[in-house]
Amino acid sequence: MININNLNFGYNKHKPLFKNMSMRLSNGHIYGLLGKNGAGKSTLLKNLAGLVYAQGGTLDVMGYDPAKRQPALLEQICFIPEEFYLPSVKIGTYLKANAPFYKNFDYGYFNDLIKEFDIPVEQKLINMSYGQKKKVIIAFGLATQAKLVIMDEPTNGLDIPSKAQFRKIMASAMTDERCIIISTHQVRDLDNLIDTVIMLDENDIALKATVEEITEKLTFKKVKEIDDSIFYAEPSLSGYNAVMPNYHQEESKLDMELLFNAILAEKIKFKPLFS
Amino acid sequence: MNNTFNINRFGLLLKRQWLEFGKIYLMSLVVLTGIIIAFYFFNIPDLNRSLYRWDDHGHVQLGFRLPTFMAIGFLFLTIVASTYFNAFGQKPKAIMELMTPASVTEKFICAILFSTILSLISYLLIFYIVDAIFLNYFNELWQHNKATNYNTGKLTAVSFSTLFDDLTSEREFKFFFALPFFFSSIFLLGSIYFNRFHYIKTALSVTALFSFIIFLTIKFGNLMTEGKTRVYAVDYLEKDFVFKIFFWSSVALSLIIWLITYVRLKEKEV
Repeated sequence: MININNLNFGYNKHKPLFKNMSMRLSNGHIYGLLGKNGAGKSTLLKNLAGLVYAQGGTLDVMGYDPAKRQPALLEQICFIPEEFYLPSVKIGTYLKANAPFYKNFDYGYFNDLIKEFDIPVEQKLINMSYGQKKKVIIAFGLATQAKLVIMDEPTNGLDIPSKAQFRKIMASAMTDERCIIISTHQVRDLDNLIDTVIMLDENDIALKATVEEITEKLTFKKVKEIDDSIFYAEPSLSGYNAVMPNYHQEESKLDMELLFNAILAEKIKFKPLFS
Repeated sequence: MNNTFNINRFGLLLKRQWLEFGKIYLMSLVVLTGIIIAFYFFNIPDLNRSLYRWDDHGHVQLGFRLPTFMAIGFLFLTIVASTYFNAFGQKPKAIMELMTPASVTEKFICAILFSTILSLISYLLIFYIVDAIFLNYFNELWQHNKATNYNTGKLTAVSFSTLFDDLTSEREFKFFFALPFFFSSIFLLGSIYFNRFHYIKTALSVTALFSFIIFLTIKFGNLMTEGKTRVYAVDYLEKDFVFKIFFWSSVALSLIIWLITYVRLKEKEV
């Protein structure tokens, strides 16, 4: 679905964000895009959506070059930005103006999502809270039936019940034809949702692996003491939360926050496992 | 699927723009009508006047109308054009605009239609209607008045000239017909070029550029003519030629500026 070959991009000539980055993303997956502030998560998403132009290399999204902003590709992309704007109209007017651009738009599904999110349909979009607006835009994006769903910090501004609703809806929205990419800082919000982790660091991809692959190669557990076999550990109330190679094929649950910190701190140790 | 231009998609885009901006646009037309009416109210001619300004067709001219028509028209057209792409100056709005599944060509033609064609037609129509209503009223008030037409020296019934008379009374006027498109194109470019304060920044840039061009022209003219004697005067045919050059230059410049706007829209990054 997406092929990135030697992507080079930077807002400043002397400070590139991506240097020869290459990656392939397939449909039927929910990718979690993680990285420190300024690592380029949002920028990578914008490159995929054609909102910024690559300075080198090629990008292929469903057979199109996103930089050309062709309608055939745009109608297959649902892009939920972190900061968004909704006009001063009611949901009905917004639908009337925007939904016809997407020939597969599912009005019934949109209404179901709006009901599930408990959105007041008679209220003007501009008067809704940030969280409500976000739910509207998520509902609209998913109802477009776009094959590529790109979400930048989608759970920001959602209350606790809405985050659970969001996870449920996203899990049900996943189909074999769809590719979902979610960028977030709040890794716990994506627990049990994403199936592949992509981590950006130092102008490139520090890790790209499925959850299955990670838990096959690494084990996450609480330990009392640190020894040489542990790649990375963080102190906790009853000892340490540690990441170590999974030599004995133990089953453990991926702790995304721990993995994130571990990769950033001990990148070299992890590299041979995921090269 | 045609990714450059599709009439259905273009229709959807027009509808989308209208649903979002139509209300504001109609409100601006109401304000415009109010301003034009106010100008007419404050300039109702004095009924007891004996001296009038007559045109070549035996009508009395309304002296305030042409400057009012041009000044308000300039402001209206340039304000509408300079606000059209202002959404592109704000990241959240720009993302929504750029991600709308329509081609750059469709978005650009839509911009020209709304910012230039529609606003020009609505302005002409509103001015014409307000003018016609007031003329009707003035002609009724003056229907029994007669005054000496200084052009013919005869006592003539007072009837007022129309906006169309004003626009066609000077034979050179037709050479200025491309100017609304020219000014509109400049401010449309400004609306996508600048992220904030589009109108002020465009106006300042245009003033600076025009001042520089005028300065260069005067300097060049001085350089060419200083210490020389005139031996030949420009005749009417050459004057027409100069006006034609002016007309076609304004047409060409409008097209070039629209082309630059298209490229800016195409290359816009958020």
